[in-house]
Amino acid sequence: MKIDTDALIEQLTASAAPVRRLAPPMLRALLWLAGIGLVCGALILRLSNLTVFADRASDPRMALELVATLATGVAGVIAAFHLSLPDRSRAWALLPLPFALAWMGLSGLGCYRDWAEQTRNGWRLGESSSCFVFLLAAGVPMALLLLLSLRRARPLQPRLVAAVGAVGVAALSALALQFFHPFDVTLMDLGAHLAALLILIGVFAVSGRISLAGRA
Amino acid sequence: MEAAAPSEDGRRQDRLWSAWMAAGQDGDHAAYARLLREILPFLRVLVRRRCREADRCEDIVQDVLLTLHRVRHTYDPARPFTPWLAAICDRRSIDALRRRVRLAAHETADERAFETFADPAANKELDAGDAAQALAALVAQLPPAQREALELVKVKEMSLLEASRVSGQSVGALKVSVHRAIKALRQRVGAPE
Repeated sequence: MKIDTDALIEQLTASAAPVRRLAPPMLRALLWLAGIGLVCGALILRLSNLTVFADRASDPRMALELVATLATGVAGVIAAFHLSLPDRSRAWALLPLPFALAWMGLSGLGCYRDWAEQTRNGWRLGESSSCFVFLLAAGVPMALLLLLSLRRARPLQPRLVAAVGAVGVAALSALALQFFHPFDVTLMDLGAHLAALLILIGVFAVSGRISLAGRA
Repeated sequence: MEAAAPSEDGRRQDRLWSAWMAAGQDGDHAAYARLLREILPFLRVLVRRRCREADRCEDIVQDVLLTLHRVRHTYDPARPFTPWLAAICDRRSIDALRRRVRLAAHETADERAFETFADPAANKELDAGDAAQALAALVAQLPPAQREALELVKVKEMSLLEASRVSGQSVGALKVSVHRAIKALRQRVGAPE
């Protein structure tokens, strides 16, 4: 179907109802993070054993891993909100990368230490399946909430936006898990975590591509 | 997006476009219409960098206009308008290019497909044209007396007496010529006697 460009402009003008401008992406990202932080904080305070967590966090490696995980989550969400706008640089996609590398590296280091010191425990399976379920149970609702917020910008590159947002959500779920994880990750844990995070990122990226890619 | 720093004219134009866009976001139809018309040459230049065929370029320009309309709430009047517009244009041009490459990989141009239809009845007019040409060629190969008899009696639908007067052939000779002509044509097209 061909339509004359002048006629198209007339049609668009006729249907140009006033619109509410989006707030700046940084503000939207911080509001979203604050909302998620409040809900997760309330649940953690109510359900987790903070004494055990404080004890674990006193280990500098663990503290650094927590900071890196939080930074990956925050950076991923901020980057996704920026990328959802047409005129923001694609370089935003790289923002979570250094933090994610630090998180993976520190997590792997803890795992290696655990494996070296307690070889037998390094292969235990017991907690891994519940971690897997926890990550998905925390990650899926968070991912859906993020999709809903990002959708408002109708991103032109939905796949990229969804993938970067998924990295953020995966990191935030992993951070929440740390409050209910009374031991350092073992090899099996790390495998379960990675599997859950990859599933989360994959599903989010695919569903984001479909749900964010609304056409005119 | 644009490597070169914008000139003073460029900056003035951007401020104007930005003001029109902001007014359009607030529901000012006149400002919005003016903006869409004014940006057309700029869009056409940008699109032509990635597209050679004029017809296809205009499709992309229209796609950009539709996208601009759909995401107009994402423009922040505190920021320059031109990079926002250029980013949308760039994205849509790349999408169009990818779509074209994807289609080219899976589809083959078949012009005849546009002329013939799956339903044989739909092809009647086209087939009739072909058949008429073929038949005219066969009639041209008949002996002159048979050809004349056939044309007068069957094509012009004259009575045998009229045809006899026109051709100078007797009624009997005309009957025989028409009969032989039809028999010869049937044989040549392979139809049953």
